[in-house]
Amino acid sequence: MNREKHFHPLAALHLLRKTLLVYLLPLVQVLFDRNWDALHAALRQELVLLFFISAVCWAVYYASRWQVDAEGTVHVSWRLGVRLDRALRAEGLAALVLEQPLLYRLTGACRVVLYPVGQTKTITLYLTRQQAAALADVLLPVTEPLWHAPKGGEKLAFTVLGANGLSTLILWWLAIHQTQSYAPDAQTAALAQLGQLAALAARWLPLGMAWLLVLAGTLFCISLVRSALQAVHYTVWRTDTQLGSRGGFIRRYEMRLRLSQLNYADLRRSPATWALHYCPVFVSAGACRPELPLFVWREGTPLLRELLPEMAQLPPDTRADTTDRSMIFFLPAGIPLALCLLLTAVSRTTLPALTLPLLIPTGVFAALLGAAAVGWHREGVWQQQGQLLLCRQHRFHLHQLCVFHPDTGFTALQSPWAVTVQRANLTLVFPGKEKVTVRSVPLAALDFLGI
Amino acid sequence: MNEQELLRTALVLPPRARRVLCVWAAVPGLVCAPFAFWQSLWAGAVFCAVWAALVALVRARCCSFVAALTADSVTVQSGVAVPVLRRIPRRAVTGVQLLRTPLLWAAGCTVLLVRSPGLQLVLPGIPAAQATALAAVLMEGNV
Repeated sequence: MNREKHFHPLAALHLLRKTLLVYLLPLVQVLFDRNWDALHAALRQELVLLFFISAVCWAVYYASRWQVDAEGTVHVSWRLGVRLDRALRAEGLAALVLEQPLLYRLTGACRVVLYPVGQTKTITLYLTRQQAAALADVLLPVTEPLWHAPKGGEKLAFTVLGANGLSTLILWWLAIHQTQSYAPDAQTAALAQLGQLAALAARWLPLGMAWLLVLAGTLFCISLVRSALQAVHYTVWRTDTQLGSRGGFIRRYEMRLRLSQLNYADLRRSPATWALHYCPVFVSAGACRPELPLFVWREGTPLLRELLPEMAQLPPDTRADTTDRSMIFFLPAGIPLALCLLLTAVSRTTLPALTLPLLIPTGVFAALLGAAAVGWHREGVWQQQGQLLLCRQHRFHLHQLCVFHPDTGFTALQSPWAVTVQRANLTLVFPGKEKVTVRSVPLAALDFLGI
Repeated sequence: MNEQELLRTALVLPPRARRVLCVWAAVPGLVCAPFAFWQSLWAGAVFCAVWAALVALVRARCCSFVAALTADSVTVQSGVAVPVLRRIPRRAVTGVQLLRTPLLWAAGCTVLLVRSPGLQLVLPGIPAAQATALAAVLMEGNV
């Protein structure tokens, strides 16, 4: 481990991928000329470019090294004419993530992402699987861990609560966009399949509504499958110095977070968590904000105390003081709801066929308004036994946060109206520049800031 | 000035520092004003009035500026209509930066930047002696 080593050859491919835009340059001439000769010339130029850039990437890969010295400091050096060296001490590491998508597993590679303390810029290394595991064990060793693997109902709850529709939608769109050049008919075929489902649903519903329903259902199913694949072999552990988790069926991942660098723990409550009686617990360290919950917790069980004893208390389950509280909570959902209601009312007379589909966004915004009302009643800040506890509403989730990091910065902002009612918006800025805002908090609750 | 004195003192911007900051705020307006006057006399006059209002806002904000050092944090508060308070724990301070331009030097003031992993505080135009002492105290790090 102490001697200098090469990266995995996939590092060269990764560099090559970053130069894809360069290959568009010769095609500009084809755009003007629009004939076969220009196309042949452009293709020849692209071939030369490909060879040249591949040679440069290979040279960078061949000349670049990484090593871990006896003190546990990681040295990464990129060389090609210019030499770029980066070093990271083991104590300066907030978190690390090992990722193995399918291609990486087939080639025996592993992507290691290191999150330095207090920085947003990460260090990404492409190593072999064994080297990555050895590096992780040097930087954040797993010693005498307390293991926990979800089973049965807990695993099911983990799958359902870990499903993220928004990120799935982005990935789905990206996948369709990427494959369009290789299989132009794939998108049409997929839409035709969905069209059959929509036609089936349209026997009972208007066509627009059937399409919306089918698209939402498909998205939910895909995100469920994605979450289920991530939940396979899922294990979470805790040692004296770190929290960690690993899992994944096709795409394997492992995450290790240094306990002393944890920003906060976040219990996210939503209608789904109330229905399932399980609550997902998210943690973040440095700039590392995992998309998946660390674990799901059934209220009343000792799991939370075992894995996160720092989270000794939760924000009190009481209603916040709403006297003179700002109505800003209701604006993000209230304005579109009013607009949708107006459109629905207008469509009743002008386009009756649109009325029912318009009721869907109206319902969604009404639900968001309900969630905002929950936030209006529940958002707040408490300091109990020296620990800062927050409660904040974001879309459908009520976040109950317990702040761990002692180096947290604060910003309290007051509008002219807030000054008159002695309230302020409190923003916590964690190392790694992650921000959490609690709105319209009474100044009396912020006495620890000495305003 | 030592730490005990800093702990007892609230740092405010002296009048000369406020003037320097107002000059800084006025400079972009002065550069752009000829272009506005080029359009028409009225456009130039309106532009100057708006810019003068902005400079007045800057002055009001400078007047409301207060920075304070406590045993465990450094706090900056500013703003009249929209007051903002920023606080960084002293142990989170990773670096400080002192800036003195000729104007600031003539006014005997310094711009102090206090950096932490998440937030950054700007103390514009505090007296040079206080700025140097505050920077030294913050960089001692033994809190």
